[in-house]
Amino acid sequence: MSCIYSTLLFVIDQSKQLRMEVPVLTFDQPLWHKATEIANAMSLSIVLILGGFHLMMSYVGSLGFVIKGSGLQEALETIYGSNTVEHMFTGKAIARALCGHFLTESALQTKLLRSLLPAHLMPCINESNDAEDVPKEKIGPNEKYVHQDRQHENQRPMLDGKRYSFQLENEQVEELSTFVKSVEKEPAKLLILPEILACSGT
Amino acid sequence: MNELCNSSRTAKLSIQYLRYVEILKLFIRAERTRNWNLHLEAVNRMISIFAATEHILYAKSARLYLQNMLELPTKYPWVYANFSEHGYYTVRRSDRYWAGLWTDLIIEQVLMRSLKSRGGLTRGRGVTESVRILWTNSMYRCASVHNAMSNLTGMQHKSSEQHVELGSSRVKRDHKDLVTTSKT
Repeated sequence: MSCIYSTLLFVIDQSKQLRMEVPVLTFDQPLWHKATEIANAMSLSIVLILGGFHLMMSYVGSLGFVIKGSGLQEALETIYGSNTVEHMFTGKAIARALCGHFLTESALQTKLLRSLLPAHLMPCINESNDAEDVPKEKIGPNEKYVHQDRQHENQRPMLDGKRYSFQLENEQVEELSTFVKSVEKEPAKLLILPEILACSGT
Repeated sequence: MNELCNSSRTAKLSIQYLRYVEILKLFIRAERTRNWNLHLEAVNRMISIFAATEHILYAKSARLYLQNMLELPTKYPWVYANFSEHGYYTVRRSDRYWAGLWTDLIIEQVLMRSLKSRGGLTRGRGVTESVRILWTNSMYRCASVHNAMSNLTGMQHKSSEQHVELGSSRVKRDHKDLVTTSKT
């Protein structure tokens, strides 16, 4: 306790010497809590920031806790080793955890997209040698959407054991389809999919 | 989306997971692009998830932190101006847009490493006031000397314009991993 207090006093003193108005300190969570108590009790003029990186690590740990037991562990074990996956879920191996979570998110969003778009508009985003691939066809006038929808209804990918069909407006379909075509060339664009979906009102 | 959520529990979990990952991305983006308001918004959304997943200490601290930071405009306007307009709550080690870093990460990796390794403050040089002042004031000069020496000996780190994750081999490997995960 006194160590933290003397640190705070020291920093305030140094900032006065350097003619800075208010010093700003970053702490990790346990120290931050104590430091805030001390600063409030002694009315010290200092701003204390909670370390963002450790906050993120703890959040990734929370994410892992939420998703534990849902089978994501097995899915990620196809890429990473089982020990690594465990560390990823507790938030320790942060770089790999981030990679892993973003990867799963992209995979989930791709699945979501495949069920949202009319089947004939789905390009082969990720399965190049998949026998189930729907043949690509040109976008024709509006009647063709409906007709081809019915044709390819049975080839729609199953989401969670059921086949879904959502009716999107034509403008939304076009917007999504241009986006999907651009993703073919730049897979990194999948990262901004939530914004696109939010804009198109889905 | 709401229809999907209500359809089955697995779908609900997946959609929830997507929303949680989005919060994570918001937080990272806030730090990288020095957006103070986005940072506060992301912390705000994280609090309920901390509380739900037994990270009680972080839930408590994050809430208190948020409360304190929301008082900044009235209590310490100079600090608030610096944070929100200039983004001085992050550390930038290079000139690129997407390069804001967390202060605690920098402290751990840069300062502690240089302080505690050979020739640093804790081993050999001592931590008296004069040594400390000398150390802090000369650190940036030492950096340019270090740079020049690496150039001379040819051991310079080359960093390209592009982010390391956007290189084509990384993208290909990520793509391959994505395929494998989707099939599961």
